[in-house]
Amino acid sequence: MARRQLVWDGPTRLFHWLLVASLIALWATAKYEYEELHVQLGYGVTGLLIFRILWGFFGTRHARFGNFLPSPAAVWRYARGWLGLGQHQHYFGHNPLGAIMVFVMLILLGVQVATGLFTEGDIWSGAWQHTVSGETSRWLRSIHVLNFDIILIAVALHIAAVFAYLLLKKTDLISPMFSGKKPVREREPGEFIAHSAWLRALIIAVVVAAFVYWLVVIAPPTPEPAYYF
Amino acid sequence: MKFSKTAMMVVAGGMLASTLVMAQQKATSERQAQFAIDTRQAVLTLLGSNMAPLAGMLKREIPYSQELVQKNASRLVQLAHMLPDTFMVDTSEIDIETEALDGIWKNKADFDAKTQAFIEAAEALAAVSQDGNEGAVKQAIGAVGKTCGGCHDVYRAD
Repeated sequence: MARRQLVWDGPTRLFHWLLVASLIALWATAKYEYEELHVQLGYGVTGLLIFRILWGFFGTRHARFGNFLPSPAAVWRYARGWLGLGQHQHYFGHNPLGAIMVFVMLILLGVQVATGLFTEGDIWSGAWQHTVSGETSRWLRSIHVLNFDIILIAVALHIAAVFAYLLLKKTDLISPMFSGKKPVREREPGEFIAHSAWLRALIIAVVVAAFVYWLVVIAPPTPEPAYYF
Repeated sequence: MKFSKTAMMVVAGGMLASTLVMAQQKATSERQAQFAIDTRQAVLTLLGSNMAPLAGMLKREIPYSQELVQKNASRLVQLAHMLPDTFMVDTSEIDIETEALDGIWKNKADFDAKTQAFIEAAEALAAVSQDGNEGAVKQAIGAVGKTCGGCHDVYRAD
């Protein structure tokens, strides 16, 4: 078996699987009306999302946005290669098509948590819901509902793509998302990462947690006493 | 006990009048529709204002007070019983601003089941607030909230 080296750092993988678990839980808590839990999980995803954005600047090689910004030319070349119309290119990190999915998913999740903050529930609402009119809140809620379906489509595409690599390209992208390691195919110094930068991730995570706490607990204005009579 | 003829007639007349009022009818004028909508919104506004502190207790935004739950729950029950009546007049065919979706009168049986669920949840809350413990009362408040949302999700415009 080929030697395997680290490509996806631990924090990126932890982010990925926590997000998967959170999305499943968020779907279930919405469907079965566990509002309090849904709202709290939503704040958790807010934190995950902000962490991933910061990790896109301060993370390890293949987690940094700057290292996988997809140019139209690269996307075109890669898509042609994938379909057998040219040389199939191997990427250790995100390939250009996968990179598009990363950014699309981050944007969709951003829309989802932002609208969720203003969404009214039966009892529990987003932390900022009472700062907008009922009409605005319900409009944002409708986007929240619609956008989740779009997220589901993106997730389906993502999973379909991973299995297409497994079955058609005989490339296993799944186990590296657990182990972080990919087999070394040829000598390419610098492509692999030395370590996961856990300490840096921990510091960023603490800052993010403090920010989310501020965002949902400290910053929202107290509801007017007129609400309570 | 023997009822006087007059009293009997008053009762009979009252029953006849109430069946006339209770029967579902399409609004025939904008004026009639507007009155129905105003009444509906008045009842729903009061339901909302009486529900708000109970939700606030659930969210620990205000301290728990079982006396307040008792007071507001009894109001909710009264208002809940008014709610189906305020939807008797079908305003769907009048061009007028309302958040009430046409489905209310298209799927009246389902809508009625939902308002009935709300009435029962409010009555259950009123009952449990008399002698129940805080946990049971809070659970009943949550159940009322679900019946509010269950109807809003389907029959209220976004």
